[in-house]
Amino acid sequence: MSHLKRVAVPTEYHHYIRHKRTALVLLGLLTALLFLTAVGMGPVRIPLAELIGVLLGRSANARFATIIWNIRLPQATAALVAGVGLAAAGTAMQSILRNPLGSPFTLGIANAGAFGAALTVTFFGTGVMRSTVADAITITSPVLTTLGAFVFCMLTALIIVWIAELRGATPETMVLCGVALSSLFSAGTMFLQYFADDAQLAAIVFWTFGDVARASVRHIVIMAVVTGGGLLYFWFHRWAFNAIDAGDETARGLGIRVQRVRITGMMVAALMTAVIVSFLGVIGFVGLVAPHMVRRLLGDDHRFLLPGSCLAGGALLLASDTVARVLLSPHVLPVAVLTAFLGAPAFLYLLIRGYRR
Amino acid sequence: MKLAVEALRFSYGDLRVLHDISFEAAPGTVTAILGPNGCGKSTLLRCLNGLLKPASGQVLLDDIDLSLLSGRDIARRIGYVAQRNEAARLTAFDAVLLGRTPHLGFHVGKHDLEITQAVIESMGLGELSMRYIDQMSGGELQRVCIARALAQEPTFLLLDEPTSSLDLRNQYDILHTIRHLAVEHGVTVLLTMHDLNSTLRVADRVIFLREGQVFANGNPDEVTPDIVAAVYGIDVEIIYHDGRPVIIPLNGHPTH
Repeated sequence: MSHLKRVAVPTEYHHYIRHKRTALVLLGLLTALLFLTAVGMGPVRIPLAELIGVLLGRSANARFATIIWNIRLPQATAALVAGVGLAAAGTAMQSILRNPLGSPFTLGIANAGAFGAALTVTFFGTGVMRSTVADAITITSPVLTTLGAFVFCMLTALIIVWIAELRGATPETMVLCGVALSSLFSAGTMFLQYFADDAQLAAIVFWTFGDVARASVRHIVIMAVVTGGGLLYFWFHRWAFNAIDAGDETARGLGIRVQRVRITGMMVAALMTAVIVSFLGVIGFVGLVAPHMVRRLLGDDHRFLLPGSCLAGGALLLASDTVARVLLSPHVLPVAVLTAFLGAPAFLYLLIRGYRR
Repeated sequence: MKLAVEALRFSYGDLRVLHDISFEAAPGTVTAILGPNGCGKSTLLRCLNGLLKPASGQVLLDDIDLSLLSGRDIARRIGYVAQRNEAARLTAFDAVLLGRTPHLGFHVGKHDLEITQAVIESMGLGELSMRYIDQMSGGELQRVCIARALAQEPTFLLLDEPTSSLDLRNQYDILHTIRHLAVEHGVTVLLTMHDLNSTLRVADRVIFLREGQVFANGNPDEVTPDIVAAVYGIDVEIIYHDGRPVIIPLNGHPTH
């Protein structure tokens, strides 16, 4: 069919593409707005003029500057990066598993991280209770705890990939495998909690509540680099993911190495999740909810879905974190407590809509 | 361009599915592969575009050995429409554009968009091109899938039961389109079919598979009641209507 006469593309299509791009820009602006709100809101409210002044280095208010640079900005950045990373991982996993429930949690990767952290708390005594009001429990050795979580996240991903290699990477295999591992690690964590003393138990629970306030600047940089790399990978393979959405045989017929894209994609998504979970703890449902919101809005085309999900994930986590900090002020909730509430409506939505994939 | 299959064998584990399959498909013709369920039709089609690797034998695309080509190279030559197609929330235009995948660099170029539009118009999908395919009927979706395969600018088109889930009108339209692609555009088409009468209308060449082997290979008017009885196990009568053979199953019990 090489003698096909080329035909000008209808303006309708260009309009359609422009609409999607506009939607992405608006979503980006919303995320930026939520970022500024997150930095401005909290126990100490910072007016917008002061906030911009501090960010541009033109404000004389040293107190505001300290709060912004040392507390709020790192926390908001961590929320943004984690939201983007979890949403991207969720988007990719939904395609890889061809399953609407695909997310870092469905596969048990997050639970594995929690188990790894609990293990270090129990056996290496990395957690301890202190009697300060605001922050009663501290992880005394964050490096070891983080390492424990990371190792178990990646181990789980490797097991999933190994089983996929063994049994073929069908969506059913991977989801069942995720359910199995998820239950295993939940059971393991329960076991450790039962035998833990008060201080350890508190430390384990504390770690399990994911919190974006926990990350240091160095952690944020590591998360950003890994997330950025993962995004590049997914963006480069956006057509491959679109093809896989059309069915494995069709994708292979289009010259896509489906098995390879599935397995590498899975490893990349797992790496992004592992880094975020091990620095921040378990933050549920962002990776599930954000892609579905965007699928509704922009469709399943990964050219728009991927950036859209990332922005929505960032926006969602920024908004959740801001609400978590001001809702019961002066008490500050860890953001995971709030995002956990997103789970029920998300599942109900999928149930009622009868998602086809 | 010509497609030749030479002594092709394929097994799933110990189960031998295809033995010593050999045939040729001439350029710009429609070749139909027929046979009962499980006789290896779909397996054969998948061997022809490299989705399955044959245990032995060769598939030659105009004298080039298929096994020497990469997936991407094959996809530039062979369009494949699978039996099952998933419909994501994608517009028909973007679904057809997906067929440009084997030709794409990092970006979709103007050229790719123009080819896509040309295919959409030639398949009569102009009105539907901005609709989401997850809201389309079976017939519309099948047309989109064929259009996607054509956007690959293939010399060969493989279709796995393209009409099996369609109503009469859609079957007729799809078969008409397939005929048109072969005759007017010189695409070499191979398809698997269940409906014998539709097959006899569309095909230039009919290959009957039985137990993984080529049982008969000929023109539509060389099909005899004996062949149909041997392959499907039912008695039929073949009459001619408007100069075309029409197969009519006879009453009575299957022959075996």
